[in-house]
Amino acid sequence: MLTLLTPLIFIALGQMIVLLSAGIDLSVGPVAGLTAVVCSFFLVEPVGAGDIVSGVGLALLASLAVGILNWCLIRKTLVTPVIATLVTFMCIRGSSLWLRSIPGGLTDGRVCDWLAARVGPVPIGFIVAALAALALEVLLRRTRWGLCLRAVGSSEINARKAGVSIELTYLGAYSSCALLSFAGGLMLMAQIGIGDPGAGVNYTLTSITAVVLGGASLFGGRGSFIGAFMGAMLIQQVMNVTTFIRLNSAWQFWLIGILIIAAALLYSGLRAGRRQGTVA
Amino acid sequence: MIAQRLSLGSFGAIWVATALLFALCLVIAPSSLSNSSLMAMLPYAAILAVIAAGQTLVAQQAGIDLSVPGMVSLGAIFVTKIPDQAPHLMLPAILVSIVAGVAAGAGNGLCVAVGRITPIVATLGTNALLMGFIQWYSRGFPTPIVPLLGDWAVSQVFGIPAIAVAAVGILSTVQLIIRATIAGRRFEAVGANPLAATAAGLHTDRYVVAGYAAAGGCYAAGGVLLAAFLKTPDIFVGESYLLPSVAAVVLGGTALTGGLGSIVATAVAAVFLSQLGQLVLSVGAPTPVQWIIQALTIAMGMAWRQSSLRVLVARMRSALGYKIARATGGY
Repeated sequence: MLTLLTPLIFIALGQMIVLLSAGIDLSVGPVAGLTAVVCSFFLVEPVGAGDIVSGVGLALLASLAVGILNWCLIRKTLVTPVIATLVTFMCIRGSSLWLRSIPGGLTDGRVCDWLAARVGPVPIGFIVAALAALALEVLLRRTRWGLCLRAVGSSEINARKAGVSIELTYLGAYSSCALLSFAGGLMLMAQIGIGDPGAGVNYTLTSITAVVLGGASLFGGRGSFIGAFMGAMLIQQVMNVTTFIRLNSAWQFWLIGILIIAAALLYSGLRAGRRQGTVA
Repeated sequence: MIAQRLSLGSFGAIWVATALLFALCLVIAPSSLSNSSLMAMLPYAAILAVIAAGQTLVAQQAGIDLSVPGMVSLGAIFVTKIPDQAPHLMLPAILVSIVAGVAAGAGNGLCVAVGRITPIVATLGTNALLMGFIQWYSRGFPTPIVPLLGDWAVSQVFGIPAIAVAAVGILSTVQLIIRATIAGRRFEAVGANPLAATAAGLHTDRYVVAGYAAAGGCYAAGGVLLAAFLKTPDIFVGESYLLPSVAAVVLGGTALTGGLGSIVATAVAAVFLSQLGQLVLSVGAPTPVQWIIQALTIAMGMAWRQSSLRVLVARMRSALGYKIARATGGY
């Protein structure tokens, strides 16, 4: 379960960063998929050090380019984040399908083993993901970067007045989101072990579900990485439970749907209550 | 003059773009304008137009509907599963499909208007619930449509595909309700400015719920048409319609941030997107390239819109500056 969970955690953390800046990134799923597809051209048996460097490096560059492209579309042509990342979503899915029209390119078993290495019962990837969540949380609360991110997400105008470099903050948010999706893509590749053009696409919606369950506000400025981490855990656990207690597979959808609506209702109720409390 | 430019800029531009696209087809791929090619394109454009009309209604209330896949699949599943190929149950099944879509849409609207949930999250949630329902109700396998309805879907009325005729009927009804009834005009007013509408004494929540409900009806109707056209639709047949529906709304000129919308412009955008697909196909490009070209078209369309708006604002500002300068006697 922890292995299955790791890609979702990475991608949800990326989504969280963008959400904090009051944006949304629909392209996270395809970026993870593209990473797996690009790597599938290099990491086939027998894999050498050069293949790993070029494959992973190329995927890293591609992800970073997507992040920068998202930023350009949103900030330079003033398209809303939903549409801009929808455009990159389609572009990346198209590119993945172009590179591999059908699944192919078996990943070298050694690479998969290496990525799925464990310390005792816990996969290293999961530990890294958990540490990343913790580190991002500390960065968000304790450093200038976190302050800027939350300031921009809460009110861009006020942040500008306070001297925050707006563009750099957005650029940082979208590119780090793409990089975390890339990390999620590497983990995904280790699981599926083949370059599948359709892989990862579902992570877009699941990552949004995870951060909403974690209590993030889609209006920006509010949220926590630990919350996103927990949200991802909850989703994966729900998926597992339905198979273990042999519920109809429809319950996977229903539980997620009920969770997301209940969570949103609860949080919006809590916030409304708090707001009234401060007024009174 | 400025007002005219603005109206061309928001809803007229897609007409020009579509005309240019057909002209382009004439030059580089005349085969994409052949009768058979157009007849193949029209049903898909018509189905997309009906679905995107729903998305337009939601966009007008500053929402976005991610439950399109669930809703379209819901319509398709009811219209195939209820009759199970028995012709006498065809009409009741169509009715149940539409009513189910309206009910599910109203659920969306209640979450957004009464529950105060962000539209993205609310519709994401209902989509999951609908997908679960479809999985459970269909037991995971598709059923063929009533042959009568399937035959109708490929028939032609005066040389035009019956599905396109049905779509025009549905779209004109929706357009008529919005533009020519009091409720419809109020719906537009609520979308254009919720605060002003509240001040004018309108119950904005009711219109938002009604908007989402009508949108649900459109998606389900689209699902019925799609099922009839495909004969044996996959249980999650609506999944490929989410992105195109948003794309059609955006290209049509309805802002996703709410305000005035145009169902006709969205429908033209649906034709544009479908014909673009035909063009790319007839040039021999594979499906992935088609996706990339569609995405780039949307990006360029949006960028152009924004820049034309920017030019307009600059022009108005300079006109204003000129007036002030004249009034104060400067320059």
